[in-house]
Amino acid sequence: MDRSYCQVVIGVNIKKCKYFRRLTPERTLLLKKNSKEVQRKTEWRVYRRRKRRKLYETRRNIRRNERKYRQPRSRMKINHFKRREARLKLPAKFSFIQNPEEVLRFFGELRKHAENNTDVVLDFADVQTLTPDVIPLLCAKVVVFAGRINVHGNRPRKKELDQMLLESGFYKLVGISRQKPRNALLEMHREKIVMPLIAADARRLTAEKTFGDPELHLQPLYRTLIECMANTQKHADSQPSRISWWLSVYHDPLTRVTSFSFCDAGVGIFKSTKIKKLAKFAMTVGFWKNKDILKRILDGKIESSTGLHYRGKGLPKIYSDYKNKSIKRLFIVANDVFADFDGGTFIELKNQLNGTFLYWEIFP
Amino acid sequence: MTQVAEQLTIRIDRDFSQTPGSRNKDEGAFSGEEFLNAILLPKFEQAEKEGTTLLIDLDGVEGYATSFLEEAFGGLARLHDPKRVLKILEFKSYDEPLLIDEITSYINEATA
Repeated sequence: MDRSYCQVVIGVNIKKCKYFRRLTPERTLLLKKNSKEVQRKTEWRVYRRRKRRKLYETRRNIRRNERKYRQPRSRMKINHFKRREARLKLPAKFSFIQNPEEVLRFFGELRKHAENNTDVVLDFADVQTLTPDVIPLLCAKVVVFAGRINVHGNRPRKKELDQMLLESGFYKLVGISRQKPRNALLEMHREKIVMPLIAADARRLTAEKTFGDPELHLQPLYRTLIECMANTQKHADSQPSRISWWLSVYHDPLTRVTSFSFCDAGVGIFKSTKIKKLAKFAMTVGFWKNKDILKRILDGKIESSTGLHYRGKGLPKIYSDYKNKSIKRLFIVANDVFADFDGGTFIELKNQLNGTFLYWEIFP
Repeated sequence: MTQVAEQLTIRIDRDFSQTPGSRNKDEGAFSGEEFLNAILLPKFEQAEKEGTTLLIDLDGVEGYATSFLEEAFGGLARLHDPKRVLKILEFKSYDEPLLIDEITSYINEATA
């Protein structure tokens, strides 16, 4: 047998083949198709092909699965980061001194959405009445909730209301950058401490626009503003300089009346520690409600939350300035009490205000 | 011939601020505590030492919060005898004359 022939036929290294010696031409031809080596080789090829195929299929399946599972996972991610959004319609009569219950109900809803981490779209479209007293409250609430949720919305249809919101700086607060007009009728201030210069500016503005004399002394007005700022430190929180206060000063060019709205988002008058204990006692006996306590505070019959006899004279002084007609149309809202001093009414509110609100006017 | 010491004067608008603030320093600027420690107390002690009176000119400022007046003058009465404080201090207030009665009541009630 020709070795070279055999080598060609089998196509393997003939020297390493263990059946080499037994090979005959017939056998060689047989080997070509059926020999174990060929068979093994073929099987090996098939095996390797299958293995490659399997590997390919495995990888393909992994890719498919990745695609399949990545998509829902990414959707979940989007769902996780996509924030829920609720549309909140403002009361048509958006005025705190005229419509306190509706306004407080609206703020309650805003709070609920903030607690549920739901972004809010404020719908101003149908607002028919907007008074300057409500704007500091609105700003205070938006700022309090802005850390948790996004608050945005549309603008009122009425141009004068839109202008009032623009002048107040509310639009800037919710991310709408619009230039504030120079001769604004409404001034807004937000601080955390007593700011005598803001009070002095407000006094000067009132003296100039309401009385026509910028140098006119209005000590009761200045005093009331400082008392309000100082009360924020006492009633808003036990630790000073933590809670912001908001002040809006609005001058009506037609009536020449300047109105002041002051609010803080603290705990309010009745939740101050000392008063709370006293109120608790009086309430268990059944004598007092919060409105009775407010009356007693204004008359100077309840000592300050600090427990020091020489403190707590701020609110009684504001009330005495009102009685002397140095300031007019005084409203005080604290927690669940709405006091309208001109009307002589002390109303218990269904919806509470978290904080303290004061409103008064200066007439020419 | 005995020499009479000249009366000391504090003009709050000139010597301290035209915009007095609240009670304590941590509440904001131009507080009653600041006025007491920086101006009123040293001048009072000087007047006491020299055996003269101290005139407080309250005019020319934007206004006074009750907490400012109480901390300044009531605070002084808590450091010194209220009767002695009333003897040494004199007040001038043409802008708001009722302030003098208010301050006097704070001095009298400071340690009550």
